[in-house]
Amino acid sequence: MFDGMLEGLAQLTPEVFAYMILGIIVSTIIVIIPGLGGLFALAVMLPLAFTLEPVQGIAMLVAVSVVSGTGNTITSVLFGVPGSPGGVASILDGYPMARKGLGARAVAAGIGASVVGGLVGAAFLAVLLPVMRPLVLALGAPEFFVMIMIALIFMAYVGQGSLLRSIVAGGLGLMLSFVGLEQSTATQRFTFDVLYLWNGIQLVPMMIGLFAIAEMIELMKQGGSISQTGAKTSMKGQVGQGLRDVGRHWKTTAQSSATGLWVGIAPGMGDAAAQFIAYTQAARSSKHPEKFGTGIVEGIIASDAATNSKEGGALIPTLAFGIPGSSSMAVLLAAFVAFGIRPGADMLVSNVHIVWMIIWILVFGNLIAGLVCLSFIKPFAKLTTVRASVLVPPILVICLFGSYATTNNIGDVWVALVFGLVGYLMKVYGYSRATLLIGFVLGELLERNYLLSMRLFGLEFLLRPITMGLIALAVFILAWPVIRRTYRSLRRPKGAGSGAPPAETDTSEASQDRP
Amino acid sequence: VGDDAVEHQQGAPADASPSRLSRALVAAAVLGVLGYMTFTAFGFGIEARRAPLVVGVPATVLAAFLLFREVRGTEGRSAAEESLTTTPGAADLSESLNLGADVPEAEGTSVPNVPSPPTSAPSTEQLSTWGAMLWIAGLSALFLATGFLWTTLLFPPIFMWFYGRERWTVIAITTIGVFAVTYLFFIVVLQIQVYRGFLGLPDLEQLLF
Repeated sequence: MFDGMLEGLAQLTPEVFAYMILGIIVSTIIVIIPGLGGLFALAVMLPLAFTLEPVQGIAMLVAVSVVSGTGNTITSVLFGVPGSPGGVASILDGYPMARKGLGARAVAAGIGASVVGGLVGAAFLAVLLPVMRPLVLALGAPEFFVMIMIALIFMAYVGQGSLLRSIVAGGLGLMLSFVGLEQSTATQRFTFDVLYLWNGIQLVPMMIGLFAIAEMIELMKQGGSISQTGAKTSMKGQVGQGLRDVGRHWKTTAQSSATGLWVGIAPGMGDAAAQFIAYTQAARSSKHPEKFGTGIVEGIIASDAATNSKEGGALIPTLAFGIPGSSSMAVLLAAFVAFGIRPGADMLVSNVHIVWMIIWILVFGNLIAGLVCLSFIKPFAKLTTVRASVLVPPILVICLFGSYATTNNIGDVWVALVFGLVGYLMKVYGYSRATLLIGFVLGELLERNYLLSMRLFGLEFLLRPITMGLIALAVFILAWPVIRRTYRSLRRPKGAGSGAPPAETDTSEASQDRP
Repeated sequence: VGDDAVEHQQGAPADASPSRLSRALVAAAVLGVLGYMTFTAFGFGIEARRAPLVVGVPATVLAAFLLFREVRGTEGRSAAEESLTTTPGAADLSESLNLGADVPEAEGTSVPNVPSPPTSAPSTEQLSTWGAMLWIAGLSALFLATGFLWTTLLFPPIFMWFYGRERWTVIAITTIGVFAVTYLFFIVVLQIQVYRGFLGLPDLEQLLF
């Protein structure tokens, strides 16, 4: 194992390192633009990669792929404009912090969490190398179906204010995810004979509308700047404070990194699913779930740690079986094949030095990307103090371009504009945009995994050991507040519980027990 | 929170606190969308309708219940009140105005670091909701008529002049900057074939370069 590690490290010559850094910088810049994610960055760098030596090309492409989640944080937090679907959950708490003048701290916490998440992903990839096969084979559609169900059950924690409005918004998101051709029978659902809708509503323009355009409408309405503390915002010490937050909330960081890794192993789950599942879990396990979405640093840490650790997880099936864990991994896989390297069991034997080089790139790439992004924080954070009249037009124009750029379809621009108005109305009337988006992102995955599970196992898929374990865990988590309350009331001496219990104890319990 | 104070700050009473009627109308619209989708789903084949019905039926029932509660005025607080108590930025605003809102503190945030009074919110820039939405509608119309490049060149100066009364130097620098960046990145580097609008205005690339 150590020989492999050293061999992999030896591959990182100065030239390879230079191409890796080039990949990181280009990726960071591209993912900052709304709508253009890591996949787009990979597509841009592919032509250059094929002119290089295989090791140099692979190093550059892997670097582009693994750090795309880090740069996303900057625009998501500071302007409420997600660079890609993997940046949406960062908005929920990041943007409110930016409005309060704490944007630099929020971005630093997000970047710090991304780096830690990426390192955790790399560490697990290294540790799991020998046992990848049984692990990946143990997880199938039924397990992922149950996992998505759990995330949907906990979805209500993400919404603020009215629980009923949040659930209805989530239901609407789920229904919107069914628009388009049904996967197994190609039945048109809710398409109104519009060709554009055959592929369903696209996630990127929808999220740009729901968040970026809606926030710009809000900014136009309120006037002033994004940071409501205006030019007096002091950024001094915020970056350090944000980085320290990651250590202070190490449990959230670790939990979300593990979630991201787990989700990454599942083929086709995507960045947004990883973020939202981690976010809902963090909200659920927090002592103050009601504060999630109001500008709490734990929310940013949870979502960003999952984004980058997911890349480590996605590499597991890619390298071990040649099964891409995500769309960017599919591009990476194609590049491997083009370079004459065939991922799968053979790669772990004959090209183990490449596998270790990739793990090292995960480590160095995340650290370098973290430093690059940290250097961008202050100039970008200053933009949050710019007047709405100057800031709104560039952001709206870039949002239009970003919506259009991914598929070159004019329908995407209209989707962004329509959802901009919908998002604004949702904000004004207290419907959670986050739960709508969670429903939308997870709905398609839920249906796909359900259909697969039913076809493969029938209803018996619910009796698989890991599935049952996950269901039991979900039931236990849901029932935990009731169990604890019952246990404590039974333990309380008779007579003491008849009146009002001591205020302090009861208040804290109540807040922790809030479902 | 005093409604008068909120209205004074926001400049538009209807925007500050959505009325019960408007909340009910929004809930009715949501119910309409969900109900229509669920009803339509009954017409799909058995495989295709399973998931939409499993989700749609309970979601429609909940939306109907929500509408009932909105009509009765028993569903939660108004969104404006929520935004005052849940949005940290808005919390600052209410603090600065001494509105006495119940301000939740972002976990671990050191509030003393944050200067409380907003300093850059000139009242001239405040719009009603309809005003803000009209700008988006205007942008959509401009885009539909002239396409990407003309919109990039026309929208920023129009917006900056009519919305913010910015100085012409600021308008010129921002417009040229936005156009240059978007043109270089999207057209030159990424070579995206952009939409050119139904008016068929002269090709801006040929005019400029």
